[in-house]
Amino acid sequence: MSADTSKNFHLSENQFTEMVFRLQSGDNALFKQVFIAHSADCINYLQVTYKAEYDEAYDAMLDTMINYRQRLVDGKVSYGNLRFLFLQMASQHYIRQQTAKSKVVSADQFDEAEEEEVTISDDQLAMLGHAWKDLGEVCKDLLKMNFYDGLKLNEIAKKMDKTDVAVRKQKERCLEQLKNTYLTYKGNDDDRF
Amino acid sequence: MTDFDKLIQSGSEDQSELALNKGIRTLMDQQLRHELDKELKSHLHQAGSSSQAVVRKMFPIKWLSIAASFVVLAIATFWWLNQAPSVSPQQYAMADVIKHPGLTKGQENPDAKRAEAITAFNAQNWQAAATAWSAADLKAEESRYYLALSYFYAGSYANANTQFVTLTSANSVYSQEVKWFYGLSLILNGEKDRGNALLATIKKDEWHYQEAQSLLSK
Repeated sequence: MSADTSKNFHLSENQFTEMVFRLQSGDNALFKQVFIAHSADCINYLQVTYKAEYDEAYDAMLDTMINYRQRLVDGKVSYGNLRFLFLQMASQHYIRQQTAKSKVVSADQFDEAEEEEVTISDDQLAMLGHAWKDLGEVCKDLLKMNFYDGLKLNEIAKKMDKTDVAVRKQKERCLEQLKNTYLTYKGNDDDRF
Repeated sequence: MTDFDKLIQSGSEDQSELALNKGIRTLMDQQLRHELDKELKSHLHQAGSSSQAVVRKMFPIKWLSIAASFVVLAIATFWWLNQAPSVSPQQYAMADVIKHPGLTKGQENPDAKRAEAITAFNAQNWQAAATAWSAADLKAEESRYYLALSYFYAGSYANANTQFVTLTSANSVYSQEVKWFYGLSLILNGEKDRGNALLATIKKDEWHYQEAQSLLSK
């Protein structure tokens, strides 16, 4: 039992399930508590294994935490050896960071998977941030639950005490509003010199 | 790769949703990254500088310096081994997961709600336990204590505190546990002074005196 928990950030399987449940309810507190407690271990691992600079190891570890949270929310992480997965992911993030610094992609190296990704520039993200702030709280909650916390619309409907159809309609309206506000900000920005 | 604006302006609802989904997740990730960065920096404040030293290349050093380093290291190790482990309130929070002793063997218990609450509590299903203990007889000290603990383990410190405050009688069978858990819960709820004041009342021969002292000395 103790060997298992030591591989799993000292979490029992029930505590792990609780952490995932809380993440899916929009509560990051336990996740932060667990991962922050193990951050030094991860940074040290990258420094020793890859002779990484402290700041680079720190960045890779932060990116890994964000990515790990998403995997937990999506149900893509199972209890067993959470620490090993964390270190493996951190290694990949670190290697990717290092490769990106000097990467010149040739035709035969081109990764098709990247083709499907959506690219967002810093300016686009900043304008989307403004549009997001203008959105009503109900819309923000609904879209966050659906896109970020990984809840399905029927699960959100239960939480909001509404019908599935009503939530679907509301989501459409929220997306439309967010898109229009974004385009307004963008139009204003394009008008500048 | 597909540009965000291109998808937004494509006229297709699916494409537009794909872009906004990605955009919202990126915004949320940015916010979480910012929060983590802030909390990590204070957590790693000391570890950071020592970790950098781990991989720093060793320059030629005189033997005397090396010997001096060993002496310093030996003293530091001796000092460290004699210290109480440095643990934060957050780490203490899940360090003691209490088990309910269960229904008394051989004794009939007609209270189904209580049985359900005990089962959920011992399964560490804190949300279900909180719901079940709330529905049990809250005039009973036991129900309020386990309800408080369920909220505490679930991270709902404000709710836990509203129950713990009803259990502060010195005659309570839970008085020692309450001093520790209520103290921690107050600290974790941002009420550090009140929490510390409560932890300071834990006597030498009481439960978690050493741990309370180590938190108070921070």
